[in-house]
Amino acid sequence: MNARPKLARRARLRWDERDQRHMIVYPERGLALNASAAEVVKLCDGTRSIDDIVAALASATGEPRERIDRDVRELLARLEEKRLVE
Amino acid sequence: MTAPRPYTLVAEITYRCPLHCVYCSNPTSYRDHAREIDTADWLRILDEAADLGVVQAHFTGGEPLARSDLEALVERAHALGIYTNLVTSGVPFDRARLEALAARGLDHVQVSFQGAGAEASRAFAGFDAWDDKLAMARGARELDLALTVNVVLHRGNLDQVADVVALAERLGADRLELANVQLHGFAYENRGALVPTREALERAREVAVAAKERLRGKMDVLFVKPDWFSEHPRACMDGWARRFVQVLPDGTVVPCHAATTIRSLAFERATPERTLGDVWERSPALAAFRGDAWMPEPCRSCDRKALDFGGCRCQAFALLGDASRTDPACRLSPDHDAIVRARASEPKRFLYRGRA
Repeated sequence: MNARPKLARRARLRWDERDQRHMIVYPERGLALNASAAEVVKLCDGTRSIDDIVAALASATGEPRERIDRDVRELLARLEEKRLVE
Repeated sequence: MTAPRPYTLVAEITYRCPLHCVYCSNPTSYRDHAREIDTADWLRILDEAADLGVVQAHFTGGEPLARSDLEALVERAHALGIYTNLVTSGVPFDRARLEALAARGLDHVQVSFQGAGAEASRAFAGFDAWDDKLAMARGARELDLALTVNVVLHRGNLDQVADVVALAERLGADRLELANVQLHGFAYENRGALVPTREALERAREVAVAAKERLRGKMDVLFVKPDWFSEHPRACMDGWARRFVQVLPDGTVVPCHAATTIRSLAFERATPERTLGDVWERSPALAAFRGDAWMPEPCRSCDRKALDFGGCRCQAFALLGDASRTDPACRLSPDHDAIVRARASEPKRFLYRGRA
C-alpha cells in the first residue's frame, strides 16, 4: 500500500444523483460507495498518509480512532485489490 | 414493469470502418442502418443518457475515429460526468487527435488487435493495421489514459495467446480482454473457419488463467469463454435492455449490437420528439425480453434464470428462427443440437466485412 494513497489514474469518483451516493467509475465498471467510504476516498489525494486520513475522519466524526483506523485500512485494501487506489 | 436503470451507453456512432474483420459483430445487414444522425442528435442523446442514469459511454462502431465530431461527443459526455471509453481499431492513428480527445476528457482507450503480430491483422482484418494499432496503444499510455488491449480469439489465433499477453504487458495495458468470438454477424457467416477445437480452446484458457494469476494487481486479464462450448449460456448483455442501452448510427435504440438481426422486432429511433428515455421505457421491442415473463421452459423454472437471463436472444433467432426460445447454447435447451451442428460447420473462404 502506498504510504500516501490516491485514487488510481484510471478511476474517477463521482456523485450519483440518481441513487444519492458516490461511486467510483473505471474501465467497464462502477463501484457504489456508502457515505463513510466516500469520505475516505475523497481524502485519498496523494498528499495524506493513512494516519492523516484517520485523524481527519476522527476529528470530523468524533468516533473512536481505533475503529476508524481499522475501517480505513480494510477499505483501502479492498480498493487496492481492485487497483482503484495506488 | 418499470424499466431498469441502464448504466452504460454503447454509442455506435458509425458503421464506417477501414478494416474488414472476418468476425465483425456488426450485422451483415449493417448498411440498412448506415444513415448517420448528426452531432446535435448525439449531443442530445448523451444528455438524455445521463438523465437515464448512464455513467459509462462507449464510443464505438464501426470505427469511431471516422466521425470528425468524436471530440465534441467525448467533451459532452465528460462534462456530464460520464466515464468515456473509446473502442477503436487504432486506424487511422493521428497523434494530434488522440491528444485532443485526451484534453476533452477521454478516460480509456480500448484497442483491438487481431493477434500477436502484423500478419494477424492482414489475415483477419484484411488490412495492414499493425503499426497504427501499436501507435494508438502507446499514445494512450503516454497520455496517461487507461488502456485495454482487446483480441477476439478464434481458431486462427488461439495459439497466440501467450504472445498476446506479452504484447499487452509490453504496451503497459491496464486490461487485456481475450474474447472468444461470438458467432454473430460476419462471424456467423465465417463460423466454419472460426470455431476452434475444444483442445485448442482449453490450452488457451490455461495460458490465460496462468497470466491472470501472475499479473494480479498489475493488469486485469479477462478470458471470455465461448458459449458454443459451455454448459450454460452466457448472461448476454447482463439481460435484455437492462444495464446497457445501445444506439446505432441512425439513432435506433437497441439492447445489443446484433439485435436488429431479430426481424420480428421493430426497434425505434431516439428523436427530438421521442427521447432516449421514452424509447427505453416504452418501446415494446425493448420490453419484449425484459424480466422473465417471456421465458419458455426450461428457463422459466430454472434456478439459473437470474444468472444468465435465458442467454442470447439473437442466437436463438439466428439458429432457431424464434428469439423467444431458450438459447440453444444451453445444454438444457431442447434445441441444443442446433449448436452442436453449427459447431461442426465446414470451413470455407472468409467473407470479409465490406468486401461482400
